[in-house]
Parts: sequence; structure tokens; C-alpha cells
Amino acid sequence: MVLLCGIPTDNPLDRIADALEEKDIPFLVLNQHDYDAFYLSYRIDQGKTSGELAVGDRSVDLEDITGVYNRMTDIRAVPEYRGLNEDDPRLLRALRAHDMVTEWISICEARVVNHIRAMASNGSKPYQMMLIESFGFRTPASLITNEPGAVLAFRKQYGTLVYKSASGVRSIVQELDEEQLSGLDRITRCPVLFQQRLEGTNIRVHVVGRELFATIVTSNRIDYRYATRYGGDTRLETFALPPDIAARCIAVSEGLQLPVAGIDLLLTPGGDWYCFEANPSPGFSYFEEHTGQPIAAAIANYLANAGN
Amino acid sequence: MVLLIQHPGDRFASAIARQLFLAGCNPVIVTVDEIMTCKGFSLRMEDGRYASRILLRRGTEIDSASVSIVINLVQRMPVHFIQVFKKADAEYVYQEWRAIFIAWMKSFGDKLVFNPATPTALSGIDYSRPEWIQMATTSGLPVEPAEWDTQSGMHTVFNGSSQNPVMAVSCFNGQAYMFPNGMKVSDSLRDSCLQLQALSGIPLLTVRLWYWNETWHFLDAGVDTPVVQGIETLVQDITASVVQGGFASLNPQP
Repeated sequence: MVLLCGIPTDNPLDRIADALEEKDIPFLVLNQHDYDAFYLSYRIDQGKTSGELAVGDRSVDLEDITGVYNRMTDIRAVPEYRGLNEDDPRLLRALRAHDMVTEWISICEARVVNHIRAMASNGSKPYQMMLIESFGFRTPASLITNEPGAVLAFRKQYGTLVYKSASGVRSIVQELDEEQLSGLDRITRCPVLFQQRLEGTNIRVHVVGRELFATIVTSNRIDYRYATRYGGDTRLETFALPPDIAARCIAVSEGLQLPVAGIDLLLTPGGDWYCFEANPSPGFSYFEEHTGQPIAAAIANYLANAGN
Repeated sequence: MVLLIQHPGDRFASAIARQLFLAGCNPVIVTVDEIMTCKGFSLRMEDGRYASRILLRRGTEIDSASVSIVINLVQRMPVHFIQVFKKADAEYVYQEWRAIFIAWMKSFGDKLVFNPATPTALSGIDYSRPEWIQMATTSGLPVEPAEWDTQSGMHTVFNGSSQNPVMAVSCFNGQAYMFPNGMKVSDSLRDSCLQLQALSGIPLLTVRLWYWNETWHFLDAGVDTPVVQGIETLVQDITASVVQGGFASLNPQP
């Protein structure tokens, strides 16, 4: 039995549900729209965990769950709970159920995509970059600073810069252009992450266990994820990774304890490979739609403990 | 330079600082509040090399090149100073500083002797209650059965009360320190606490035990060190380790 946790209409979760159905793999959905619709109970005794999960009129022993796909979002962002007072019984019940599910996932023996603590590395991008470097990838030269003078010196050394958030909040990559330079004093209020702008080919690699799906991304915007928002366009095609780069991607995935990860690479015209980040909850559906890569099926297999 | 980063008024940090001064280390003591309101902050990351420089408002400069040891006792980012921002910006600034602090700590590598900052906990690792229970059991500590259900929460099979004795065992560098001072425990219980500390990957960990049914049982564990009579021995040993450099720092996986 596979457990899917999140919002049923979320594209990636929905695709995995379809893939599980096609393969006749039984699954349950913990729907964040209604925390009252499921009941979880478990016990830890002498190091052994036992319990059950009931969703609607279906129930399963926890030890029969082979895989958990965790796409849960912040409860307060879910429409049914958004805006509720902090002491509202509905919110309190939902928070308790949410925390309990999260804690059970932290110790369950099923394959989890992905553990919360592992996903958190993406919450500090420079921290994650340091980890990624330890697996053999180069990362762009970076400066985190609240000093305009330091930015100008860095720009003199590395040329055109881009900037983004260090935490992942409001994380759209933008170029430090002349207009932004004129307002550089604003960074004295809070440090900003600047990076050398690298030219080359963007490649997104989805790692699922030991399977890899690489996509070459061609876009006329710095951050292809938001290309259409800013009047740009993007083209995606399947790409064959060199074996050593593929091995490094798997090393990153295993080292960060992210069995499913979306790794963003860049190949420069000179043949250098850079890694920007490892996304712990990749929105792979966008890539699957444009390339036909069977990513959802691979994740479904992984969760069912089949294949790799 | 020995760099000690702490919260304002942290008595444990003050005890360590006092001992370091007595040992001639002259630590540079900085509060996390000072970091977040500094005049200048720069962290450069280039081809696996990291260099940082911070200029505090009081004029003190912290250059990573001259730092030999970092002691991190920060457990949370302060929130009061972000109230000058608009609500939406305040949340952004808070998250940014948190992410930056974690990266800054990571940039010190092996110079940071305890406790490492990770994305889920600024000091150590933020384990869930079930995880602690599992690790405590693996370490050989007696652990009472615990149950959870989404209707009524968590409960343990415990017939004691708040009157049951509680003991804290602080573990650091292969040594265990019992509080209240003078408490005696069996070698096996002490070894189990040290095993839990090693398993957790947290260099300075305090394990709390409670006594009932004629046995000490695992209660919880964390990075708070009790500042009580008897703490001097732990503080002196920490200082000796810093001065002599005779310990291994642990870098937990994310």
C-alpha cells in the first residue's frame, strides 16, 4: 500500500495517483482539505512501531505501507483552514493530525519521498550549495552581503551578477541590472545572495532512486520557471547525461537523503558543469508533460518498492 | 580567535566564557542579535572556499580567517528587531537571516565544535519525539511505551507524577556529567546516554531521565544544559578541550 499525502489536485500527486492506478498498486490519499476524514494511531514499544491508518471506510496496518509520498503544504495555506483563529478547534485538530502524521513519517520504515528534515536543506540555499560541492559539483561563485561596496567589488571580479533569496522565500532569480544597482543601498537592511551569472545550457535532472531523467531547458529568461510570467518562452527536450555527471547526481540525491530530487545543472560552452540546487519536492509534472519522460511511473514504482 | 555565539543573558554561555577568559583564551563573545543588526556582513563562497567578515555595530570585526574555534549556543533567531519591517517583509527578513546564519555556521567547517546549525535546528538537530524514543531504545535506555492517535494526541504508559525524581545527564566529548551534582548512575546507564549522544550526532547533548518503578527511564533529550551546582566540571572540561584541541567535532547529516 502506498500513502499519498497532500492536496489531491496537486499536479505531481495527481500524476502519481494515476500511475499507481495504471499499475494496480493500491494507495490511500491523506487529503489535506479534510484532516477529520482520517484517523492515525500508533504505538512504539521496545523499539517496535505498530498501528493503523483509516481513511474513510478503508484502513491499513502501518507496517503494510511500503511508500509515502509527502506533498503536504502548510495547513494555513489550505482553503479550509486559511484565516481560522489560532484557537479554532478545527485548526487545532488539523494541526495535531498534521504533526502526528509528520512525526510518524519520520520513523516509518516505508520508503519516504521525501523526509522533512532532508527537504529542509533547500531552506538555506547557500548551506545546500556547500553540501552539493562535497559531492563533486561546482557551484556559482556567491556572495551574501548587506554591503553595497562588497557587491560592486564582486561584480568587478565576476561580471554580470544575479540575485535571489537565500531561504527560498520569494525565490525568483533576477539579474542585477542598472536599475537595481541604483537602489543597492537597500541591501543594508538585510543581506542578499548574489551569484556570478553563468552562461550555458540549463539541464534539469530528476533523480528517482537510481533512475535519472534529464531534460535540456532552452529559455530566453534567466529563471525559466517563470519565463511566461515575464513574457518569455521555454523549450524542453530529453537529454543524455554523461555517465560521470549522472553518477554525481545520484551521489547528491543519496548524500542529501532525497531519493526523489530535481537537480538543476548548467553546462557552460567550455564544458564545465555547475549545480545550482537540489529541489526536494520537484514539480516534475511540467517536465513530464513536455518530454513524455515516465517520472510519475518511476516514483510510483519506487514507492511500491518495485524496480529499483 | 575563539568565537562564542550566544543569546543575551545565557548563563551557560557566560560560564563557558568566564572559564575561557581564565584559561587565557580571550574569546570574542557575540550575541545572535548583534549578528542580525551588524553594520557589515559578507560571506563569500568560491570553488569550495568560504570566507566571511562581519563588522558589528560596536566596532568588533569577525574575520573567518582569524577564527580557530566556534562555539554555537544559538537556538532561535530573535524576532524583536524585525518588527520595524512591514509584516510581509518581516517574515522574509526572518527567513533570510535564518538561512544565512545556518550557512555561515556551515562555512566554518570543522572549526565549529558544537553545536552545528542545520536547517531544522540552529543548534543540533530537531528530532521528533518518536525519533528520540527510537534512538533512546537503540541506545539501551529504558523507554516506556508511547501511543499516539489523531483524536487524543500522545500518551505514555506512566504511572508516576511530577514528584518523581528527574536527572539530567549532559554528554560531551565522551564524558557524561550528572545533575543534580553528586548523582550516581550505573555504568550501563551512563554508557547508554553517551551512546544516545553519539547516535544523535549532537556534540553537546543533555539527556533527561526520570525515576519510577525503581528504574531510570528516558524522558527527553535536547541541547539545553542545566546551569546548576556542578556545572563547573563540564565547563572546565569544555574549556580544556578548546584550549588543547583534543576532541572530535561531529557534523551531523541533514
